[in-house]
Amino acid sequence: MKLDNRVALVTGSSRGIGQATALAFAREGADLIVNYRSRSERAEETVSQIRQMGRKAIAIKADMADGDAIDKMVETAISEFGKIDILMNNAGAIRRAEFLDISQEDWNIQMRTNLDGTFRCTQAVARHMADRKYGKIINIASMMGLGVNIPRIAGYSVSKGAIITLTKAAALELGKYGINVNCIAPGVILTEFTHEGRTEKEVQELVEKQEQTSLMGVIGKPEDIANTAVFLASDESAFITGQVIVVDGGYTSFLSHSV
Amino acid sequence: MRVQGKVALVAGAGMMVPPGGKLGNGRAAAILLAKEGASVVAADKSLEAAEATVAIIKGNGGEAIAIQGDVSEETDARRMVETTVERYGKLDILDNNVGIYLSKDIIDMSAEEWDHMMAVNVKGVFLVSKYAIKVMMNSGGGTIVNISTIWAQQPSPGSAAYNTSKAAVTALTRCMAVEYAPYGIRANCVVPAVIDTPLFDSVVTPEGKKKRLERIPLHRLGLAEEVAQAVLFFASDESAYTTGETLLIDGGMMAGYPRSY
Repeated sequence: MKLDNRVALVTGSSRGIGQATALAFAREGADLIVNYRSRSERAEETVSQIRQMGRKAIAIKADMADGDAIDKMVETAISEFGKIDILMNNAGAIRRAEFLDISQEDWNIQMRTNLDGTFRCTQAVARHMADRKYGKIINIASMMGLGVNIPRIAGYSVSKGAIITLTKAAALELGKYGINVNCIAPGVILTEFTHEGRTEKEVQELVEKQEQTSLMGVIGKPEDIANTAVFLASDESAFITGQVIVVDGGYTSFLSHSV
Repeated sequence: MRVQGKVALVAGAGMMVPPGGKLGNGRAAAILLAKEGASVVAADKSLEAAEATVAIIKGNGGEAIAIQGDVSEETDARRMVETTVERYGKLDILDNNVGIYLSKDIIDMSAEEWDHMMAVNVKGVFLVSKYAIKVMMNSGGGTIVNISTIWAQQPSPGSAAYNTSKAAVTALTRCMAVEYAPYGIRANCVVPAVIDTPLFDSVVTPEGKKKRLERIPLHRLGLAEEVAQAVLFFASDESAYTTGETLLIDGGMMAGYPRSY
């Protein structure tokens, strides 16, 4: 298996893309730290699914907007498992509003969770990885971070664009410690997150629109991101660092399509 | 196995090296695809080189045949695809790995040299893909992996024809993705930087090698096997939702310039 004897920390893995990735890592032989902010039952469900595969797993609560909580999570993870080989910074927050109506508070929560959380977690885990001269860090950005914007999510898009730059900056400086830092930019992936701030009708419209406009004619699945994450977490991608893999069904290859 | 039951055509699967020497990207990809369960058609301008690849695959217990062909000749490109279908009944994966290199400044380059580069590196990808896509369209889909180079994005002096030809390959990849996604055909591009291959050895001096190492955050050359892993990723269903993409295998070179090590 591709990740035998590895220990992976996936932030925001109680549901959606994070959960699918945690399960995929476990299927490939990794032990897991399942991080969550508020959904402890869902996190425990993920943990028990991983244990059923015969892998070790624990759930740790930490809000990515809280730097001290992140440090504590990383400490606990290392004391429980002895090491972290793989970090996936997946947790994210989104607040939808017209540009003129974005509150400072909503702007801040997206920057703190998405950007500061990724930075703090990367730094805390990379310090440990640097000592061991081995590590794989995978950041989840978004195709919105590539400048493929849609209305009402300016703060989210900006935070995701910053994650791409952070990925490259970290890759540049951490390469000498044997740490690969890469980024996945998902397109429209149908998860619980997709429903946040949208009505059921709006979600249905989004799915239909995506089926019409993405080149592959389908909306993405969490497993599409999880499979890409497995590739970046494994040694198959050992010479790849500072990269962004866009998993969007071909959406950004054909910019004349618009959401 | 990740491409079990699939049929893969690898154009440029040879590259002659001394026995026991380094692998070229195409040969490494052919070997890996076969290991992961694909039947491989190893095509190369040199039949001897293609046969050597097949011998390695068979030695590993895999399935493969060798074909001689020049991708810049339409009849040869067509024959590669036709032979694949005749022998294995279908074509699921096309790895366009053929590439030639020329070290020459623009003012010294002849029109013939320029044309030859474009004929092999660009027209060759177009021709093999043209016939492969026709087959894939009728069989519910397929995946095409093209090979470009980092120098197409960030050129170094002295290889304008090569760099330009490879930039065309990334553009052509996106065009294929856009035109044939409705038929379930994906097209992606693997973009190697400094890979320790026979081609690299033949064109770079030891001093040049040292200079390049200083530019790479991971501070080592890449391996053909690592390029092959990226080809396998795009060839497999693991990348089912990715098309029109380029993936750099560059040890972090494009992330920035590491000042000191």
